[in-house]
Amino acid sequence: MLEASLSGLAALFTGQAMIFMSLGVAFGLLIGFLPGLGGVVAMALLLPFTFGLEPAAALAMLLGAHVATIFGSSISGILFNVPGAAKSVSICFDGYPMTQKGEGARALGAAAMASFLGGIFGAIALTISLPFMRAIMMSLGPPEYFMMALWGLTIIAIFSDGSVLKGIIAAGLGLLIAFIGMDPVTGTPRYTFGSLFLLDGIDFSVAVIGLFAISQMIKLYVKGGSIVEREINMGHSTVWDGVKDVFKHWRLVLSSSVLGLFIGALPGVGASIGGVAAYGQAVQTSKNPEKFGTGAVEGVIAPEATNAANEGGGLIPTLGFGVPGGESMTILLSAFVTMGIQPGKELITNNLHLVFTMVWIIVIANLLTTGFGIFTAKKFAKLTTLPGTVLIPVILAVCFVGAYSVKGRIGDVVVAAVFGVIGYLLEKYDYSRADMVIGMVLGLMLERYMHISLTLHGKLFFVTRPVTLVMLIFVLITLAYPFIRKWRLSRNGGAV
Amino acid sequence: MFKRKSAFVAILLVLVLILGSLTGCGAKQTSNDNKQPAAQDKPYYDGKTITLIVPNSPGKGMDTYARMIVPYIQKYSGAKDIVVKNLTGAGGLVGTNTLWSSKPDGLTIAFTSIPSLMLAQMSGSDGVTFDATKFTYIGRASTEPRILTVGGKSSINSAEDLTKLGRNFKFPTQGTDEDFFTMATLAKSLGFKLKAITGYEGNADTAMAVVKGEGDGHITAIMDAKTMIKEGDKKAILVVGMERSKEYPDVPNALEVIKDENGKQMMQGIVNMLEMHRSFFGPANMDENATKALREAVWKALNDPELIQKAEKAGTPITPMKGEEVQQKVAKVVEASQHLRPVLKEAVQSTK
Amino acid sequence: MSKKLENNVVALVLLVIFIGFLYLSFNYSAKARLVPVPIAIASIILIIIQLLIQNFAKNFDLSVDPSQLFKATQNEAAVTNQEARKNVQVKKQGGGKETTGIGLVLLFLAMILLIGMMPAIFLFVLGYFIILGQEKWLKALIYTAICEASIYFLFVTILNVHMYEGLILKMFLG
Repeated sequence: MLEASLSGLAALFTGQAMIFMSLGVAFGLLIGFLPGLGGVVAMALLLPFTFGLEPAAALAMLLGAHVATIFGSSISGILFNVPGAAKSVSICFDGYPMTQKGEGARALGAAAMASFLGGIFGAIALTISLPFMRAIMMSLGPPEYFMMALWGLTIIAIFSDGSVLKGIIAAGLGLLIAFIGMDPVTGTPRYTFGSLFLLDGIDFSVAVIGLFAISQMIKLYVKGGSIVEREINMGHSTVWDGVKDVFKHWRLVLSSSVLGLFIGALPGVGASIGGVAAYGQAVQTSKNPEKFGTGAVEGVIAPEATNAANEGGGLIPTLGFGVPGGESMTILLSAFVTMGIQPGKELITNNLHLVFTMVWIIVIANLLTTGFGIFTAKKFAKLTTLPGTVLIPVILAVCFVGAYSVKGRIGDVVVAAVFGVIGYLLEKYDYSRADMVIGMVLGLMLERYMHISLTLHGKLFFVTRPVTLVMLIFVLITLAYPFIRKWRLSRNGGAV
Repeated sequence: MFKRKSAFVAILLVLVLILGSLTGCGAKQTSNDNKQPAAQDKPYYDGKTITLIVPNSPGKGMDTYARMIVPYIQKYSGAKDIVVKNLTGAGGLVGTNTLWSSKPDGLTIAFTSIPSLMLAQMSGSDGVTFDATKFTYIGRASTEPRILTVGGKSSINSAEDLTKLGRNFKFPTQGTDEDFFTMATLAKSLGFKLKAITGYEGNADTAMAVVKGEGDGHITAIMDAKTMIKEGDKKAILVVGMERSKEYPDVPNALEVIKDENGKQMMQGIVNMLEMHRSFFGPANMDENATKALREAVWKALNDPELIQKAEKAGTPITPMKGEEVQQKVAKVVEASQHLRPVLKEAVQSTK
Repeated sequence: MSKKLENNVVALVLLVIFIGFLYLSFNYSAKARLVPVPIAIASIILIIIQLLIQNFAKNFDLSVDPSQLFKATQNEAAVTNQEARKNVQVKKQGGGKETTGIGLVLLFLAMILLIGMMPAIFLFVLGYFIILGQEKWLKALIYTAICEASIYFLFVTILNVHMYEGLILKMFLG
């Protein structure tokens, strides 16, 4: 195994592989930075350029780009509240408030480091888990996916961003918006008013551009000035604070990475859920859950580590079964075909060095992005001190173009604008946008897997399967947790 | 790092230049080629711009095919430019509706999966404004046979076992796509009971369901099932296509095992539809000269050795069929449609 | 409008939206409405409770979380945070009206729809720089040109996006 690992690494130390990986990483950072576009787009655009390259170089470019998009989209999310890709929306929840507090550089540093550790962890776990991941994947099914979605929803109850009641209402709105379009179970067009555009539903990444980025620009206009005033920024936080934060919260990094790995490994559980779940898990395990949403560094670390670890996770079913663990993995699979790589047991027994090449690519690409992140964070953070009169028109323009580019539909530009206004109003009146987004992410997943579970396992599916039952109990504990805490606090208070 | 970015930009620019010069050379060659046959004084498309509507997302399978082939069509048609326009939405209906209502002057054509369109129309989907049997078919770029697979541990080993199952065949599916309708028709014509479990997120999701044994089996492209069949995670039961597949010569073709005459006709209709798979097509009653010129250009393009080699390398093989032949297949589909329509509608109804 | 009235309007709009969803749900088959209906009903109940709390609960402070029972430490953080925000706000000047802010976004949207993506961006960005940013003509023009060129390069050249041309151009071309 060590031998295979070394020969996998050696394959990367050719001029070609290194150059193409750097190109991929640079491209990935750029695409990630642009609103609405993520790893799938980056890989799809690079795929044609890989024909004719040697496998190591081709994989280096594709995977390198994919890895880099994660941090790339976090940069725009943290600094401008413009999530670069749908799956990094949860980084905005705390990343942007940190920037507003003048801790942009710290947030970026933390994100870069968390992404690095998460990525490495994902790569290592990929290596270790290949043999037995199969068993885990085989034991989880639709009822468990349903429970995961349900658990995701309970995060709302412990969310501190504004009023809890209003938060749940916002989540309800998000859930209902998720149901607009063709129903995945019965094929019924719902809430479309006969429009073909709405038949495809509200595109999540477009809605997020509106809810967070455009609404923020309206807010910035109303407020005047710039995102961060120069006096505040000249201060107390540095990139290294962020890096240190990550090591301080190493347990969180670890648990978030495990979560990311699992979510990546399960086809049918979308990557956008990863960030949300990681965030919820961070809130839950934190000693100060009330700080979340106001610029807690844990809120940046957790989703970033999860998203980075997702990578290794997504490769598990892709390499082990030939089943793509996500949309971007479909592109990787088609690249395998060109290279004559056949996934499955054969790959692991005969071409193990190739698996290790991929592991090393993830490691090195993460190293490159993190290096980039740490050394440029300060410069990027300065961008936020630009006056609003410069930022607003430019960011609005990029947001609209980004929304249009997601699917090339002009209707999406309208959606982005409408959600911009909705987002502004929701925030003004304390209806949490984050909760609404969580509802939007989980709506269809909840519905899909509930229906499938009902058909497969009957009405009592949540008690007849042991794994599901355990998860249900976990969900209930999550729900009851705030009350238990309150009770414990009051008891302690009474004792003093 | 910024240096690296500019290096990347530089390489991109170089690539663009190379591509540009390549197509430029191509254009020159065309003018030479056209002198030899001299059948027409001036080719119909000389100096004109064609818009190619691709109703699918950029970067995905269908779009990759279109963009790979387009330069060659340009080369052989003599067109000044071919603009690829991705008009996505409603499973391809938006782009196809647009094509249906565009001028039949041959300057607007489309490329997508024909069976999806026909099945959407025949099953009475909302939002269909076109009649897929009336389109002007220009040529097929590729098709791949589909295969019915079951889980590796399933008790089903042959088509016969399907009918002897004694319970519903659980069929995980992502919705009412062509594989869903193929499965419904297969069940009807072979005479086994089907329980479609809708709501799965995609092919990967349904494949896992079959491997795990949550569902009994499903239909996919052979390419997507290869690894799992080889690993023993799945078993191949039936090939859906004109003949047996070269890769699995022992697996019978669906048309071989269907005894019922009506069933055979229905299945033949579906197979014909599937055969048309990735095709170029124009609006109904397209200009005759344009149709002739374009069919010829597309046929030549699809037989260009350079393109074939490129396609092979990219894992997106070309299996060309002449436009006239595709058009004839439509007639067969129409013939079978009387029997098919109720089956398809019933299948849709069963998911509600 | 007073803050209370505004809050009521927002809640009422949400109530109408939820009722709309519920009403539409009954057009669909039992299976298709299985999940949306309970969610819509729950949302309606919650928004009504919210309305009641807003209007009838005593000592209700709009800026404070009404569900203190969930979190004992919530208020402290919220208050300090709000104080911080207020401090920041005092320092800054040059804010605009809310309706103008929303209007600008809608104006930009209308421009894109009418004259197409790239021209609209050029005009909007340039106009914003000159009118609201009070930049000099030449400087504004240079900035706008850089912005336009970067967007064009990134999205059209590299990403191969076919930009929307606008309704006016479409009308001329038929």
